[in-house]
Amino acid sequence: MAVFGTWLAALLVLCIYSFLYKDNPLYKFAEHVYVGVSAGYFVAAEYHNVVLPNLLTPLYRDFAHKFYLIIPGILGLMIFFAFSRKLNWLIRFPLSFVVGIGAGLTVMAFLSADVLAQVQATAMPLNSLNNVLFVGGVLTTLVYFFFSAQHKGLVGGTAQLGVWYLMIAFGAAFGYTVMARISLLIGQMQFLLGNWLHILK
Amino acid sequence: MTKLTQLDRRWIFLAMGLVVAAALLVDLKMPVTISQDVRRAYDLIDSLPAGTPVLFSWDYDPGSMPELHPLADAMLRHAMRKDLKVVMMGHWVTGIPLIERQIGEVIRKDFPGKAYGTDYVNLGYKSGQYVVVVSMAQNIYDAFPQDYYHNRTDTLPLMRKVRSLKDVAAIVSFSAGDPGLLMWIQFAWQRFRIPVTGGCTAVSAPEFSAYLQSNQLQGLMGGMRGAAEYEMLIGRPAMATTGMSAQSLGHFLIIAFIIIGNIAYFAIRKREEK
Repeated sequence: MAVFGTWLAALLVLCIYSFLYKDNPLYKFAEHVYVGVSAGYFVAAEYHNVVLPNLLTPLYRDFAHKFYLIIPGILGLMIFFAFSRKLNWLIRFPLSFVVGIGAGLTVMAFLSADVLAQVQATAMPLNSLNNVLFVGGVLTTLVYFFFSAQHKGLVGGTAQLGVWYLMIAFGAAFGYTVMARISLLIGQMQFLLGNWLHILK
Repeated sequence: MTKLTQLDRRWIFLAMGLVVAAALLVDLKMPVTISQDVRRAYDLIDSLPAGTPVLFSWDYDPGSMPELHPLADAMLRHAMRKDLKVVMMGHWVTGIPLIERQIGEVIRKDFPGKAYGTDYVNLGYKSGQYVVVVSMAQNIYDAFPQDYYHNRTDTLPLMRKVRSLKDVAAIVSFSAGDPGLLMWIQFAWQRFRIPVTGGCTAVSAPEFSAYLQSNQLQGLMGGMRGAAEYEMLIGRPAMATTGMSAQSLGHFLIIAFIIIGNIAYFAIRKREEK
């Protein structure tokens, strides 16, 4: 069975890679299989890992103590009103909970991790070249994104320096992106040459 | 020269495929230097005393396996050697079988003395992202009433010690995106001050530099390179180390193509100017 799985996976990988030559039915076949299997897997996994242990089993076994679970259960079922033209307005109730909880939890998290902590980390003593470059980079880049003053004279020169910092950052990001894509190719090569063809040392 | 600038990109794909395959076939070994970020992550795990519970989160799917699977392998191996108690879970639905695969490849194969429930636990997958993290910080049994094998979580010896997220000494996330490392930083570190480390795909590595610099993240392994460095640190070069040699050759090829392309471009421009 494991051998069959390896062969199936290898053939599907080759189907996907055939797109590099040109778009073709084999690629489309593999793409549709991937999407279909992922969607089916998602539904089954959600049911067995979330709905069953967190809702149905407690309700069935310990209904007296966890009756409050009925509320999220009903709200969850109300999502299916999305399929009804007359009653689809009812999905606003569960969605409002999702949006409310999401916003409530994430606003503070983003503010503390992405704003306050970053500002705090930038306020560093200018006692080394590294720190000077760092703070200089933050300030000049911020000046570039300040559009309420014309980028001329001192502001223009500072903004231009900020552009250089941005270019270096984009270059680093691009380099990492190239590395990521080649890593994926290496992984698939290791699978094809190793697990499938057994010709790797 | 004009032909060079109009080269069919399929030739580039073919060249890249051949170079990578050749590097893997000859098992080329190139040196890997250890970066400070990876060493910080290693030191965090290495400094924990035996018996300390840690949480490993598999936040990726098979699409990111080449980058994150070797890293998870190396870090899990390190944790097992240090006799840490590992609580495993995942935020990506298509990543569920990857935890099982790693348990088979690392623990059952090389650490057969480790017992399920006492030395490690697989809680499996749970949707809900940050809601799950916050819920785990209040009561882990509510978030995960049962483990991957349908055992009641509160009956497992390890989970009796780990009643909430606050009982783990560190969180390690193998992250391919959202939900992943960023979510753990924002909720586990910022709200509950639990040290967070881990690895991410190379694409998202630059994004995490800011969190490293602000000490919200205790070390970071970026992509296959990070995994290779961690393999070197634990003294067990494996798939990522071999892969990095192919990676280096691939980069050489890209640099060569960029140089050739630029030479051709400037030569044509000069000719047109004349």
